[in-house]
Amino acid sequence: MARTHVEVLQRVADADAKAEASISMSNVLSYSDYDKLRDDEYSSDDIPTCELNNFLLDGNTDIPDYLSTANFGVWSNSLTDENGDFITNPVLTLTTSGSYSTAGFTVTFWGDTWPKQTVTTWYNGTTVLGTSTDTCTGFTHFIDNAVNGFNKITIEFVGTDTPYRRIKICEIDYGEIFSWTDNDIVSANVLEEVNLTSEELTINTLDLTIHDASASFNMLNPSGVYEYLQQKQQFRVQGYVDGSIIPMGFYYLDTWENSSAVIAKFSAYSIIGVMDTVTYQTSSMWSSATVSTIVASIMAVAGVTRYSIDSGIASQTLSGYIPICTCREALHYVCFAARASCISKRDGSIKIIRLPSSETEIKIEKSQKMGDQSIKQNTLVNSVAVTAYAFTQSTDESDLYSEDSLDAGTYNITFDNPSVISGISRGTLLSSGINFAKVQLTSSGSLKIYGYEYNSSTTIYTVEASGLTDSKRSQATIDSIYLISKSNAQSVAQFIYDDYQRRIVQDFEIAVTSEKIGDNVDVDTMLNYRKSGTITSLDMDLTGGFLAKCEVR
Amino acid sequence: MENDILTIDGTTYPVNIVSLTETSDFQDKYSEQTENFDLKRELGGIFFNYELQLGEIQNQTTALALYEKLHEFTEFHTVTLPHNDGLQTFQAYITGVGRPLKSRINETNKWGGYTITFTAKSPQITS
Repeated sequence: MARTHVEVLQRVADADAKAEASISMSNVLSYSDYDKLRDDEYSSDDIPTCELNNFLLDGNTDIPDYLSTANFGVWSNSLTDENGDFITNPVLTLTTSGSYSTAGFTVTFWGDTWPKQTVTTWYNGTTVLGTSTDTCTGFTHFIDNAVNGFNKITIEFVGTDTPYRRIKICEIDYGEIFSWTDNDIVSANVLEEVNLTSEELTINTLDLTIHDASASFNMLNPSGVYEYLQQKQQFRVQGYVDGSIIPMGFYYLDTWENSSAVIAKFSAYSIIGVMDTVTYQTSSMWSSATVSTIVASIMAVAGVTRYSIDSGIASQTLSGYIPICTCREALHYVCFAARASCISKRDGSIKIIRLPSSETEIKIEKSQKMGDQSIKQNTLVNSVAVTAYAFTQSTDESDLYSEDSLDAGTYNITFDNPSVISGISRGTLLSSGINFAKVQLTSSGSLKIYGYEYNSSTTIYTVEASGLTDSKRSQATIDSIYLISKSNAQSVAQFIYDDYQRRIVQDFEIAVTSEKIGDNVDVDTMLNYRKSGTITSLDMDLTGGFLAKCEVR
Repeated sequence: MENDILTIDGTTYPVNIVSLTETSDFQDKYSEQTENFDLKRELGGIFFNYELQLGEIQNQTTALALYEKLHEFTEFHTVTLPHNDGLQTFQAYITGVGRPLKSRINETNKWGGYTITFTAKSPQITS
C-alpha cells in the first residue's frame, strides 16, 4: 500500500503589496527580471555560470541556447571575492504607493548560496520606521520584524556565504511563509468539484487544522501573526505518495479561527472562489466574439493569468453581453454558453474544457472501491428549453439615469439594461461601458446620463424526447444567460439535454493516487455491470491516506 | 526484576517491578475493506505502550518523589523503559495511575504498589 503524507505552505503575506511594489536593485545584472520576484510559482532555471566550482563538468548541466529567454530572477552584477565579500553590497529597494503593515519580510534565494547577512530598513516616505540586521541560514530568509505603515523597504545583501558568487533572488514576500508538515497538521481535507455543464462554477475548498506549538496563530497572542492574516493569502498543498510529489492545488484564505491556544483552523478556497470576490462590470455588447476574447476580459478584471482554454472552445464565437456580476458568475455565463466546464487544476491554473473529454477512461475496479457505496439515479428531465436573446440598440435617445441632487464626488452608476452612453448633463465621465458609468462631479446638483438602451427579443429553443405528451414532460428551463443567441441556443439545449440523460451517479471511496476531477472512468459497479462516467467530485482526507469520497456521473 | 528500570524525566526510581507489559499499537491512516473484501490500509505508525505494576515502595522518600512525578501537571514525560535487549527512551504520557489501599491503621494509610500506563506520544516506528 502506498505511503502518503501532506505538506502545506502558507503565505501569511500581503499579496497586494507584492503586486504593486516598484522593485529595483543596485549592482544588478542586466538579464534580471524584477517581475519574476512577484510570481509565487516562479522557479529559476538551473543556469550554469562561470562562478568558481558552480557546476560539475560531467555533462549533466545544459547550457541554455538563449540567455535572454532563460528564467533569471534578480541577480547581482558583481561577484563576491575570496572572502565572500562584495566591493559594494547590492541593495534591493521596494516602493509601494500604499502603506502596509506586515509581520516581516521573506526573501527566497536561488543557486547554491545566500547572503551572509541582510540589513533591512523600513520607511514611510523618508522616515525610518525600523531596521533589522539578520544572519541568513538558508534559501528562504525570513526577516522577523513587525512594522506598521511602511511604503518603502531597502534590503542590503552583505556578501555571500560561498565565495565568488552572485546574489540570486527568485522571490519576495511581504510577510512570512509557514511550512506545515505531518508533525503539525491535525487534519487537512480538500474538496474538488466540477460541474459538467457549468450550471454552477464550483469552488474547490481546503479545510486545514494545524497544531501550532509556538501559538503564533493564537488570536490573543500579542506577538502572534493573526493580525497579519488576510483573506486571499495563499496555501500551497502538496501530497506525497511513496515519495513522489503530487501537487494538490493552491487555495486562498477565507476564514480562520482558534479552537484552543495552539490549534488553528483555516478554511480556504480555490482561485474560482477568489474570482467570486471581484465584480465584473466591463462587458461589451459582443457580436460573434471568440470565447477566448470574452474570457480574457474577465480574467483581466479578476487578475487571473494562469488559465487555458481548449482550442475548440476558444475559437467558438458568442454574441450578447454579461450583466454586472462577480467574475466567477461571468465565467459561468461564458462556460455555459460555450458548453464548457471549468476546472480549478491542482497546479493553480484554471482549465476550460468540454466534458466528458475524449481522454482514455481509467478503470476503477472493485478491488479499489471502499467504504459506503451507493448508486442513484437523478430525476428525469426529458425536455430542455433554452432562451436565446437578440439585442438591438434603440434609435431613440433616452435618460439612462436621472438624479436631482448629488453631492460632489465620484459615482459608479449602473444600468438595469445594457446601454450606449451618448452624453452626461455635467461632470466628467471617467469611464463607462454598457453596464455602468463612472462620473466625477466637482459640485452638488442634478445629473442626467443620456444614451441608447439595447432592446432584447427572445426565442425559446427546445430539445426533448420524441413523442412527449404534456403530462409526461419534465422540463428544465434555462434563461437569463445573455450570451445565448440564436447561433448557439440549439447546441446549448442539446448539450444540456444530453447531460440530463446521464442520470446514474455513483458514490464510493478510493485511495487517490493520480485520479482527479474531470477524468473519464470505467467503474466496475457494485451492481455487477461496468459503467462509464466522469469524476465530478473528490472529497479527500489528506491526513487519512488520501482516502477520497468519489462521485462519478 | 531489577529495580533500576523506571526512569522518568532523567530520574531513575529504585522500585521493584512486579510486571511490565509492552504493547505494540498499530495505528492506521485508514483501514477499509474493498468491495471484494480485500482489506486496504495505510499504516500510520507503531506505538510502544507500557503497563507497569510496581511492588510496594518501602522508602518513603522514593514513594513521595514518585507520587509527585506521576502526578506532575505536565502533558508529556521522557521515560526510559525496557525494549528488546536494552532500554529505550521516548516521549510518553501517563494515561492511568492506580494503587490499592492495603490498610489504614492509626490514621496511617498503607498503599500497595502502583499500576502505571505509559502511552507513547508519537510512533516509534514509521514508514
